[in-house]
Amino acid sequence: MNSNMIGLINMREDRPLKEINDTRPLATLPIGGKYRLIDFTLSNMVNAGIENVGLMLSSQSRSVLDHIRSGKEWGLAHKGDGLFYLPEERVDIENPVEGDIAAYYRNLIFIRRANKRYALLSGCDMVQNIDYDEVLHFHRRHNADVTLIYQKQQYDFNREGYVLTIDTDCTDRVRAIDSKMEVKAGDNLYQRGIIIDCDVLQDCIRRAYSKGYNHLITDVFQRNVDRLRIFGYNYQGYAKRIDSLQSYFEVNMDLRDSRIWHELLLKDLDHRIYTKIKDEAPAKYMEESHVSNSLVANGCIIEGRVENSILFRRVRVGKNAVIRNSIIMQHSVIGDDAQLDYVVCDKNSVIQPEAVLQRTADDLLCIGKCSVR
Amino acid sequence: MKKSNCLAMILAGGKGSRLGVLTKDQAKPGLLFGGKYRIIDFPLSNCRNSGIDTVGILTQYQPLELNWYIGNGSSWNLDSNRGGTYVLPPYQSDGGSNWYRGTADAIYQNLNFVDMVGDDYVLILSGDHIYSMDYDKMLNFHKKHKAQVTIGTIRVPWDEASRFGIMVADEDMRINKFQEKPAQPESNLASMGIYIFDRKVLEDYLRADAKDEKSEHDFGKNVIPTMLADKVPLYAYPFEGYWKDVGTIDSLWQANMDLLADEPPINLRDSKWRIYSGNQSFPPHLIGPNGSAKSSLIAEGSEILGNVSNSVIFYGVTIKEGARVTNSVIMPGTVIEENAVIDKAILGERCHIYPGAVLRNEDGTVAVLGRKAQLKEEQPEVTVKGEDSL
Repeated sequence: MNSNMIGLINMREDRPLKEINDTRPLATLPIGGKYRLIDFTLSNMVNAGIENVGLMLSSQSRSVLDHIRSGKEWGLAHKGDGLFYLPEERVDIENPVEGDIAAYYRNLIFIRRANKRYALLSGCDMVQNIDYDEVLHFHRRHNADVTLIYQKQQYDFNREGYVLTIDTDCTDRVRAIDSKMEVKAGDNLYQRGIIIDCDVLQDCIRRAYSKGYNHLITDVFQRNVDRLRIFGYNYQGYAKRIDSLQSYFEVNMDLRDSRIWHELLLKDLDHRIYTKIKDEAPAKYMEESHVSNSLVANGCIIEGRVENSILFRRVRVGKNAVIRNSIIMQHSVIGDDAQLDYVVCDKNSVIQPEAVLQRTADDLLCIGKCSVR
Repeated sequence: MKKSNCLAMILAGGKGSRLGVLTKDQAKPGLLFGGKYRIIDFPLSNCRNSGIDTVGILTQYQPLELNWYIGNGSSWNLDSNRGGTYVLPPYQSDGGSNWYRGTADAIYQNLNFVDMVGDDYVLILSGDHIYSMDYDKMLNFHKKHKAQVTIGTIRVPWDEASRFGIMVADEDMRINKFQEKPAQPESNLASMGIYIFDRKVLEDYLRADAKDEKSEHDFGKNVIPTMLADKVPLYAYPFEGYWKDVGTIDSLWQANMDLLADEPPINLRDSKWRIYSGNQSFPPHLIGPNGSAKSSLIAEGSEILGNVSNSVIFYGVTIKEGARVTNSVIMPGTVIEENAVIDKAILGERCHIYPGAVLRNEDGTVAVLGRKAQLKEEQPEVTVKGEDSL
């Protein structure tokens, strides 16, 4: 498979989840027992046959480089094509400008050199297993300039977002893009995924940059909704955006649902989510362990009780420890007789024996990495 | 890092005929073990961890799956630009094409490769055992004793010594005598089938052996005894640790069960001595609302909705609600449906156990199902036996 599309992942607009770690970029937030958030977007791209991926790094990128390295685990360590790290340029660090136009402008050379027909633009805050190849078919079928991925919302949402007005005569044409402070049930919420013709992209970015515009969505697409052929692709699979501790917790807990676990992580051989390989042994359950309704990664050793929780790689759960409704990241050790409820424990942490850390769903306790409690 | 100067050659052509259906369509080194490994992961990981950077793997019997698994060796970090991993099947040359006639012949037919790599030492390994061993220590021993051949040895119980090739060595570990499966063993120092040769010596003796029409072209039976008779300095390197042949159904089952001990005899979790394997990109495993697991190893990508105890569950296994799996080894992709019962069994890859089916041998032997076997409820009397009937 050799797609005529490049991928561009813009990490500069994603803010760290400060409750968990205010310096780790959202891209490398550990999620789902063994993954980092960016694994979803990156895997979705390679699964669609994309062989050129540009990572538009933010200033805090050490963990991103450490995680992805050559891109080998995602099949991106090629001769020629493959992975391109696109760091921030000095001018942007010294004089930060709002929005994404300037960032795309600086990387026009990447887009031009890749010499492909289409570009897929994305953040890396979505958890989904989307077939971008299908979105590209949609884009071509409509002879679109731009395809925006959206989802029809099931519930009222207490947060802002771009809402699309789609043509009522079933042509999927986007007629308006509105920035809403509160998204309601039934709204077509834009999901930060764009397929765009590279020619159109380059043209739009150049013009927008010269006019001093900032945002691709509002300053380019919204203003030109009649001039450009913009279409909306309604993605109906599971998709959630990580933008708060609450949504982070929810997505992790969702992954314990067999149906969602299959859809997101074990769809079929061609749609796996890849991550950095660690060569850990299978998880070991000791005689006294009681584990239910949980997601457990390789390398764990479990002696205690674990319910409704996520255990990342190489977590140790001591004798008679009780972990409920919690997320325990890699290499953390939970001491004997400790009790945890509604805790998000970052990596390499140590919970002392007999510690009692109990919170509620609305008041999660976050424990920073490498801490001792 | 400089080049290791020691080439490893792994004999991976073994058929493993005593493993019956489990090695029907693959060589023994490809046999699955311990929830995510194949037997060959152990010598390959040992090579990697010992600092060896060039490995030749000699395949013969049913090599397809093994070749595919090994690929370019990158899973074991054995794909560096200083060396690499080379699969070496029998090939055709001017002299015709020959199957490997024995362990020595397999190396003889690849002397060109040995010469091309050009390392001064050649480490010869079998792909049949589960163990962790630092070959670099053995190489240092070899150099320190100015040996021309060093044989890896392990002390075995005296009553089992007659099943092995036995070395009789002096205090300095120089070998005086070699007994192949002796009725009256004079020592309990058994050969592990691991050899380090000076390349020049290896080449000379293999060329001579190839011309010998009476030879069976086997290291243990022919080459080593000839060298001993010629007073070549042969030394026995004493290895201490877990070393397990998994050549029978019973030993394979037992070796898997050994991993379930609180302190297992082989450590799969040593971050300084990792056991590498070909990776499958599976998600963490799921234990369902009514699922449970005790005294077990469970790999990623499995979905446990039923009850598992005292078992080894490989990746991508599904155990549905109400099913019970005890004292068993369940290989990748197998599905065990609702309320089925599996006890003391080894299930090959992608088996399908239908709802309510029962698999257990009444006489206490290990029940075995080969790859893609199906078991339905209408066959309550399963008499799949271990090694005897296969």
